[in-house]
Amino acid sequence: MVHDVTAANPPTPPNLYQKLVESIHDYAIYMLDLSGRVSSWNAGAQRFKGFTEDEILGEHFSRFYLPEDVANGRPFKALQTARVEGRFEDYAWRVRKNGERFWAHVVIDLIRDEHGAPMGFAKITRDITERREAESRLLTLRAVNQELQEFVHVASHDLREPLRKVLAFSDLLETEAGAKLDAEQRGYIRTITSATERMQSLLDSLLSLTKVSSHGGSFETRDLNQIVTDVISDLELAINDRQATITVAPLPTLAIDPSQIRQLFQNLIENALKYSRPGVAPVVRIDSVKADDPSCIAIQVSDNGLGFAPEHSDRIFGIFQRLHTRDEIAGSGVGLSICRKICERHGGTIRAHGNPGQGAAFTLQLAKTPAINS
Amino acid sequence: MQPQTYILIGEDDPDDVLLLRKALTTLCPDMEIDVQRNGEQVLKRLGDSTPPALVILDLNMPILDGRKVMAVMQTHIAWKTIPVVVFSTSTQEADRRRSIELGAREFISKPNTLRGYIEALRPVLNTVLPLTVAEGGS
Repeated sequence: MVHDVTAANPPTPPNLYQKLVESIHDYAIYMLDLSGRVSSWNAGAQRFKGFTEDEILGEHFSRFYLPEDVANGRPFKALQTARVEGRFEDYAWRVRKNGERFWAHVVIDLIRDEHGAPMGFAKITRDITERREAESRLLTLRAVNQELQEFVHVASHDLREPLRKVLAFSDLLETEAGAKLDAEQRGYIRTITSATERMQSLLDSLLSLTKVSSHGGSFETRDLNQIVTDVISDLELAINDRQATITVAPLPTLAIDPSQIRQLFQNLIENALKYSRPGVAPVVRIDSVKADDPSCIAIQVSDNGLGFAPEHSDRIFGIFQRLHTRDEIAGSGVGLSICRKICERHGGTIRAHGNPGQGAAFTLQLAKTPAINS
Repeated sequence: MQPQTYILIGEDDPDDVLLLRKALTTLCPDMEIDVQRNGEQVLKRLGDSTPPALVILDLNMPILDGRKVMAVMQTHIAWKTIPVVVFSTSTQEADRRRSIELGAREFISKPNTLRGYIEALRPVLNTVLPLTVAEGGS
């Protein structure tokens, strides 16, 4: 049987708009008559519903619904809403010709003729299955991430307790029995103690790393110069000790989590002091630089210290990654991981540039406007 | 001030009890020490006898925790004035603040060494039992 399409949809001369609609591939754009039968079809509709124009013209649009939705009268209710309110919008499952489901964003608009009388519906459907899947993967990932963070937090907290006992009872042993032990045996106790203290400080570092995102404070507008000045004054002993020079260029005022940004600068300056070249007084420069990302400000912290091989510029931000042995330079290997987490929480990034013996430079970008829930 | 009788400890961890005992014995060797392993027993002991010179409480104890013990002590006219020191594994500022609000004189994060226990307890005992605290320590 041949459908008389022209009866439902009087012919209009093909024009640019019609050609435009027909050629759109990403949206199904088609018309329904007042009873819900398909009266026009475009390339997008064919692409993701699977029907050709010949197959579908004159068919009722409930063919695109799941059987249970049809049984519940949803196609009818959709048209009724569009008719009464002028528009119907929904996110729901639809079916392709081959029976496959897809997640759709659906809009139905009532179309009136020049006298205002309803003449049909314009229907726009978008296949957003991929977006829905991506969103659901993102939600799962967030939940897993959250769970992991809580796990690390609780684990490092509970692991501290037995360590404290090892320390306290090694100390007791040394105090009460030390006189009966020879020098070598007392050395064993000291090894127990120092290994335990190291474990404790690793756990503390892990805890502070997880706290960056789980226990972050609120954002306040602060003058970064003041923050850096405070940090430098806290580090005065270490700075004088190493005869270091620190120069600070004018820095911007920004909405930040003050205690975290303090920690960020403290870690970077401490690193610059720690990784200095033997016999060379550290010179640390803190400069405002041009940001790659226009929504961010950028600051560079550079030094004249040991530097590092350029191929390590990513690795040094990894947790417990160290480029030096503990005998050379003390540290937990978490300081720069914390810096990176802090920058990320501030909608920004941190990058390291270095060459062996030629100093290191860290460029941090921080968002001018903090992202919510970042 | 009438002479005080004993120090009451509420602590469920025997290792910590040992450290506390050693520290207290160093600081005030003649003082009687009574140990209870949960909050309910602590309150029972308070009800049984003349008030102790000092109560040392762990925050996390079975049956009735240290916070609840302090809350009950605050409602009791005879117990309200007994000095309380909290020894906890917590290093959280929120736990410290809450303990002080509940009437604790001091909040001490459990130290790593016996010396740490002694030094943490010395100033408290100096105020509570001014005459009996021994100088020096281990």
